[in-house]
Amino acid sequence: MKPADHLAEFVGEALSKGKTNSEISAVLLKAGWLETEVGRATASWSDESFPLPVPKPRAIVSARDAFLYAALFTALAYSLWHINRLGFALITLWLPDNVQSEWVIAGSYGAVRWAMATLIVSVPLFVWLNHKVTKAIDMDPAMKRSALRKWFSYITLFLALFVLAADGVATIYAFLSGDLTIQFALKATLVLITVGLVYLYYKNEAEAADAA
Amino acid sequence: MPRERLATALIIGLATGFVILGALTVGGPEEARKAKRDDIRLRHMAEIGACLQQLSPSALSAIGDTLDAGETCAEAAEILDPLTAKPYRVALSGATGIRICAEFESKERQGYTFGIPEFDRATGCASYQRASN
Repeated sequence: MKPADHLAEFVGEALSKGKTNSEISAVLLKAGWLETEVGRATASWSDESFPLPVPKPRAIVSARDAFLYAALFTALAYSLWHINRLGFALITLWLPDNVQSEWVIAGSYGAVRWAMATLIVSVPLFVWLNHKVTKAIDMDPAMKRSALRKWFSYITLFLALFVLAADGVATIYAFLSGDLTIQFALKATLVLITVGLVYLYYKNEAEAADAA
Repeated sequence: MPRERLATALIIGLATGFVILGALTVGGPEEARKAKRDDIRLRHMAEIGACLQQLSPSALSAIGDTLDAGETCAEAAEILDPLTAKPYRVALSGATGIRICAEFESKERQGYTFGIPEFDRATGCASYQRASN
């Protein structure tokens, strides 16, 4: 049992013995628990007056959720990765840089075809999974409390932030190395756009999961 | 429109746009086959060029417009076009210049030239300088 569960269970038991929230908080703080931990534990129980303590809804974890959210996350990540890969290869072919090797240009043809093939599969898959998740939440709003939904949202936002930082570093490095060409600037802008799309998509999800 | 739906619509739009632009830029399956045959031609020309460069002026001048089976360099390299099965054209220019030409199918395509020192896509000819004795 996690310490937080242990604590919440203690609070439930104390409430069932007629202790008030302030009495319970005082004894827990005296025992060395932090104020935030005590606050979270007491917040897991409703203030409704009833012979027994009434639990508040908690985050749920199910195998179905794990499958749906992992598949949705992967389809989105694959789609965005290959949108960038395709964009990069097209920019290389449209605006060839005279310091670029023949290999890079020759490889861009294959990269365009591979990215097109991936997008033709991954984008419809993402759209279908997104529709499925939205429909499932409409039918069962309790799914909004999915702990996995929250985790995947925050992991994606973390990755987006990481990519954004890397994009910034790469831009500064390119500037310092004399490689800040139009080609590079367009590629960096494309990364920025896709990070923006991730933020737009998952910020809402993360906020909704937090509120649930 | 909720942000999530807007993001989904933008992802679909961006992906669709790029796939269309990709198809317009690199062409379809027929164009890919042409490019593959062109790569084979370039590789053959590079092999022929590397061999001809090593020949003496007298051996080089004995070669006609094409390499025929049994001739010098004909065994060291593929001498026939992969599509038409016609031999590649060879021409000497000046005392040391060698030109090897083929009919390329995708003239606009850029890319790797298998180490050919000078290659003109428009004419389909590779230029070599014979190694000095």
